Amino acid sequence: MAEQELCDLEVRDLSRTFGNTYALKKVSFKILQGEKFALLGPNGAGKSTTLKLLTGLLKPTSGEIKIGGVDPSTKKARTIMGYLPEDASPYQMLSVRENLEYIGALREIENVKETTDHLLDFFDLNEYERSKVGKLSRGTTQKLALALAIIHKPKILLLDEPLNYLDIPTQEKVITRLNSLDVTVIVSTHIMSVASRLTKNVIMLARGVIRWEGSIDALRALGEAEEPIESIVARMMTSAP
Amino acid sequence: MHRKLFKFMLQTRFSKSLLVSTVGMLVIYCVFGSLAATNNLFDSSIFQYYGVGITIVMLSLAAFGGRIIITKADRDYLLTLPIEKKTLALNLYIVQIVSFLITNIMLYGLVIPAFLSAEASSYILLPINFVALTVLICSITVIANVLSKKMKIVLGGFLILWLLSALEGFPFTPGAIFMGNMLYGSAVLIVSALLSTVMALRELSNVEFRTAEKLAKMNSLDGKKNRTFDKLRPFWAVFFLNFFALKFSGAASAKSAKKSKWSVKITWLMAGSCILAVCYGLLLPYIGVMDNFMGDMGVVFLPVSLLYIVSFNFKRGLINERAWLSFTALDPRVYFRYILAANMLALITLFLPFAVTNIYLFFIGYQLALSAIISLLIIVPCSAVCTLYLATIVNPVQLKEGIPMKPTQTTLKQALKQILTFIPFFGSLIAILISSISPISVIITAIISLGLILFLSYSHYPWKTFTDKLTEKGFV
Ligand SMILES: Nc1ncnc2c1ncn2[C@@H]1O[C@H](COP(=O)(O)OP(=O)(O)OP(=O)(O)O)[C@@H](O)[C@H]1O
Ligand SMILES: [Mg+2]
Repeated sequence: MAEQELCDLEVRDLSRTFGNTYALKKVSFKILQGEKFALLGPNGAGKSTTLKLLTGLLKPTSGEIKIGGVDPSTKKARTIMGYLPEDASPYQMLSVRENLEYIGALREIENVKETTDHLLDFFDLNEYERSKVGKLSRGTTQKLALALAIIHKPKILLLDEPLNYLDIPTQEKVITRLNSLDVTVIVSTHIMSVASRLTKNVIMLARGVIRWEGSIDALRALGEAEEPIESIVARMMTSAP
Repeated sequence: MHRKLFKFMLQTRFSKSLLVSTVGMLVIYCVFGSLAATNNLFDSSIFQYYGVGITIVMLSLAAFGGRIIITKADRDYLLTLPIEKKTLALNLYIVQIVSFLITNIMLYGLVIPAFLSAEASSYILLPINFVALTVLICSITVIANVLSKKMKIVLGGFLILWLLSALEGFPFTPGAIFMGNMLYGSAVLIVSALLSTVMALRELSNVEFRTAEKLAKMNSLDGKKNRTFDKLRPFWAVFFLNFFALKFSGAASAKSAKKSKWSVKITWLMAGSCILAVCYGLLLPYIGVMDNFMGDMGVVFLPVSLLYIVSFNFKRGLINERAWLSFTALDPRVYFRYILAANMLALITLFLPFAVTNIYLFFIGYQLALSAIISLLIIVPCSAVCTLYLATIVNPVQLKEGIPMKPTQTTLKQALKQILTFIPFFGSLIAILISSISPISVIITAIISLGLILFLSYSHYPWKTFTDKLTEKGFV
């Protein structure tokens, strides 16, 4: 029980402004250990901002974030979180393996070498092991970034558009592999199919406020018979709050 | 020339306030400088050395790292415009001259007027020389852009020697304008500016292709073997990463990374440093025998030139850092402290052979060598790390896809921040120069620098908002 609460994630009245504009306005939600949520919303909804706030890279203008009961900027929160930003760019002057080993060393994980070997296999990166990141294709870079996000076996995974740039076979592989991990997941996306493949629940954001929250099945039930889920989502996102 | 394009480039690169204030600054410099010069407020020999020294820096930077500066936005949008490549390149060239003009006004500002009082003709020659010097520097960047690495070193080496010859009283060098040989110096400078411009213009039509090619080449730099971070404590991981990120021309080269162990490569770097130190130790007494004063100057020149190289290197700040990785792995404050300490340690290690050489020089009679040791081991590293700190705090730029992702327009505020990052450099420069007159000042400066570094690394003030600010600026 106590172990479970360790990895709950709670957000209360979270607001964040950039200059005079609100990117997020009084957002509250709670995600329990092991639950998988999609942050769904149109461009500029505040999805990426939410994830950056959760990782502690951005500070809230007001409101509170608790990762396993503590502030995101604490060491404990850092060790249980793994983060993949949108357009992730690893260290350009390091090779694929060097990136993994460097971050492994910074995170003081045990068996840096073995973990790196395992991740290179896991994401089919072996042939690029010695390539400098600057030389990689965008999709390969994305795979490396995914590997870097999970190198320390985080309990909570924050993924911003994780399937961007990946070709369809790789998408399938990554989906299967992400689903095989027993972790709490928050995936930011504006693509409903990505949300439904990776998660069970949806937090729908638009213009910095939560429009709807619930399971994907409940979302489907909101529509008329045979109505594609995309069209339900589109209707909800554009309707007045 | 393409008027619309040129105007667009100017407007997107420099804000009006910056252009206006640069002119304002020039006026203030002129008034202040000519007052100072006519009243003999300064010993003009300092200006002379400063003038030659900074010209060497600018020209060698142009020769070694020369390229037409383009940003990511340029590459994606400007270079794809349906405009003839030659026109495009010409405009980029002229805009680059403007940006060098701004930099040079800041760098040479105080020196220019110091030479005003010499003769009446200097009032006409000085502005011409200033423009010619800027054009020369800018043209060298274009010419160097198409040269091979070896040729760049040849060109850079030649330029350095050519300018240094001015200190020996050789009149046929651009450096002579600072040393009292105004007429010959100007003639040589103007002719070389014209010649280099002609050469640069001829190269311009190829320039963009080369730029793209160069980027591709830079990206394909695969190591034969990976360096390993296995079993390293976080601090040492940061240390090794930063040790090799130091790119002293010649001293460290990513290409020499053939062996897999860090220790082996550190041996290589240190071997290079030792060889240079030995050369220095052998060469200097030889110069000293020919000319006593030049020998002493050589002792001061070493920390000064290392200060130059290091400061320009560290002005880039955390251009290669990745906040989403390092700042989520370690407390950003701790990580940044590691970076500062790692760089400091790396510099001290690299300079150690030179310090040993200086001990030897001290025992063969060079009094100044003793304070040079303190300059080398404390003041220069502190200054570099301080520059890094300021550059990160005030002007964070991140390098993505090999091209800086910075806002293309330089505003007045940004320019002022840029100036701020020069403060440690100028402070240390003055301290090192004064050390040749009063050795005790070196010790005081060293203590102050060390205190400052400790204060900066442990003060809480900037850290509350640090990551937030960086992230908001797109540093992820
Ligand atoms: N660094 C920043 N500076 C200023 N405004 C920002 C910054 N980051 C985000 N914003 C603003 O905050 C709002 C939310 O942005 P955010 O990036 O979180 O959206 P998003 O939901 O991730 O959109 P997308 O699907 O396009 O990625 C937008 O209006 C955006 O303009
Ligand atoms: Mg986003």
